[in-house]
Amino acid sequence: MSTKALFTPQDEFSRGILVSIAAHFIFICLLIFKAVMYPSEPIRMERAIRVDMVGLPDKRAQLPAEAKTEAPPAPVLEEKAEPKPEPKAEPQPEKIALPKPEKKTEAIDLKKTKTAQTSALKRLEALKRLQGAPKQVVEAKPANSAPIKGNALSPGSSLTGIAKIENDDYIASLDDKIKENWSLPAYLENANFKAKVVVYLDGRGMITKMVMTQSSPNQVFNDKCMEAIQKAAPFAPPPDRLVNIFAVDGFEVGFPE
Amino acid sequence: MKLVLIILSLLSFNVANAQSQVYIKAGEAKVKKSLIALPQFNLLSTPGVAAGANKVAKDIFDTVLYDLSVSSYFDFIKPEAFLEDTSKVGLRPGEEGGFNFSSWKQIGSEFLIRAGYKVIGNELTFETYLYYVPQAKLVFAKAYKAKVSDARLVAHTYANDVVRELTGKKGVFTTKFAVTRTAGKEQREIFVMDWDGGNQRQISFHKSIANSAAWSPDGRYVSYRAMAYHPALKSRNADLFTFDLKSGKRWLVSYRTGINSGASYFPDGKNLLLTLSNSGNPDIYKMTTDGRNLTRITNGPRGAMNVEPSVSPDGSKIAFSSDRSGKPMIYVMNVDGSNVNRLTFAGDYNSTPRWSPDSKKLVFAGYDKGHFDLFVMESNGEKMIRLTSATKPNGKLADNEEPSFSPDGRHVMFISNRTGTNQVYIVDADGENERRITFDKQEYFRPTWSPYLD
Repeated sequence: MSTKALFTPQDEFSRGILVSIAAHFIFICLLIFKAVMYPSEPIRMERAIRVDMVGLPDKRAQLPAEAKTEAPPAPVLEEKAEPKPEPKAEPQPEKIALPKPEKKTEAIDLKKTKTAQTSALKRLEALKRLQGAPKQVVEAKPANSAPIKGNALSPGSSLTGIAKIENDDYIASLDDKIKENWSLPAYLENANFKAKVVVYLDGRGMITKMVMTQSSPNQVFNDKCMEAIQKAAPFAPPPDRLVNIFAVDGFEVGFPE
Repeated sequence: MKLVLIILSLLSFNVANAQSQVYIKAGEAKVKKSLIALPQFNLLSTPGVAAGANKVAKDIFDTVLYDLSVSSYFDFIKPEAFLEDTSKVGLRPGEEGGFNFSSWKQIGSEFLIRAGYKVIGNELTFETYLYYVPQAKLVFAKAYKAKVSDARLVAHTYANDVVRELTGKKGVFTTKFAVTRTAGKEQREIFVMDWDGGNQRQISFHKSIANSAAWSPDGRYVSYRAMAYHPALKSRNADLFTFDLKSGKRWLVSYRTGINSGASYFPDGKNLLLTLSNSGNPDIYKMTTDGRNLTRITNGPRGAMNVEPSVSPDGSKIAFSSDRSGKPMIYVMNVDGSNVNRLTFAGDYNSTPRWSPDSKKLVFAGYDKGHFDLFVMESNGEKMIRLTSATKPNGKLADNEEPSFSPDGRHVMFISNRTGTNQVYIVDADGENERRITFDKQEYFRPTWSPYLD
């Protein structure tokens, strides 16, 4: 048997195929290796020209009257979408209950704080259940603690904790009712008049007295201010801690601010 | 010393007291129209004294009713709801035969107008009382005397007085507008008329095409462009004329070859802007009202048109339209031509920018989807709203274009072809209460609301 007989042309062809496959495999491996180990610069898709896809506004969607009706829910949605980290990050009762040195003559941003107050109230309730915390965290004292004389801070009369939240909720309800009934004739819309009214309430939420502390030169405007409060009454009975304040000092309403 | 201590303690108590008081801001009030009762006017003289007195009274009544309804301050109580026969009671309460406030309180009326008239010879007397019903109080009373032919002016003046008494601001009911109107075959002339379309007065007689009327700030002069014949050239040219409404005189202001058009007065009344094309493309120039002291404000870009200048009422800015970006769009620049800012980017064609009286807003006509509509935006291009959207009888969208603000900024006058012909309309500046002003078969173009004239 000769050597030629051992390697026929068919065998050579098969061998060539194998060599080719092996060479391709090695080449692909090299490509993969290069791609993994030495990645090329990414293709930068830069903007060559700006195309503004804009259109002129429709009439109905842009009517101010409709925009006004849609405006109120917006802040609520925003607050829900972006809860402030402050109450979530600090659930300790001490920090929540700390009396804040806020100036109470300033108007309260009621809508903005209402959601936060409600969630804070729920967390406080949960904490109470877990820890058996007293209702008024700051005012809580050991029952048998000895009286401290001198060099001691009085707990003060500031409202704190749940009482403060309840009071703020009540004030928010006053705010809502007054705003609901506050209207002006169209001819006074841009008159820029201002007035202030102090309102006194009894324990049932009934108005006992109204005093206009700042009036505008326009009698109709002044009447509309008083009318807004009268229409809003009767209010809900004030919380215990506000009864005396509202009976003696009242609360002041600024028209429009 | 004790007194000082007492005062100090009292002060500290008050401060503490003030700090603990709850304060609520009522915020922006809801706005609603006031209910007003406007009974027919009483005849104060013997019936039959002056023929046609009833017609005069009806003209005044209709005019007052229309003016006050356009003011958007009132809703009118229907006469069927009245509890008093106003023809049988006097104009004043409390006197014998006088009216009773309780009759008007019961139907919820906030305001009551009682008025009477008499016509003696050619003299009209119109006696009026405006009452605030909830307080049973007289707001104002006034008697007007005028020629019978001035009955509509009396009515407009009364409506103005009502608005001024209630708002402290001027009413627009004695203002006018200048407009181009068809006046014969292929001819358009300038007309001046009351804001409601009454008392039309033709002020141009060129027997050609006149257009683009502009008021001087004092309301005395109207400048416009007319295709005037130039014998030397044996052709017509778009020249700028000014007409004195008081003296009836007219003079040629600018007659450079090409366009002399689109005048807009500066607040000082001594200078104006116009578009000239004598150097090639139309550009904006400033000149004195006698046509001298020419200053070029815009210059290119090459091949671009800069037209329809409008000076802001505070004199600080110029709005204009230009096709420098390819499509005609609205731009704003300083009065010296510097700091050009493009304000509009939407639509196919935006034109005729016009300022609000407080210089804070611009109204313009925007061509989009095959028709023109009016849009209002802030002077920086923000907060754009659409004012108009109307269809023709065939269901296709109508063109609403060529806007002009009222001098109080509460209304916009414009041209619409929604009925098939170009007619004058007004709409509130928030897009509400569209009303047709002209009712004839003529075609109207480019209305321009006058400044206050009284």
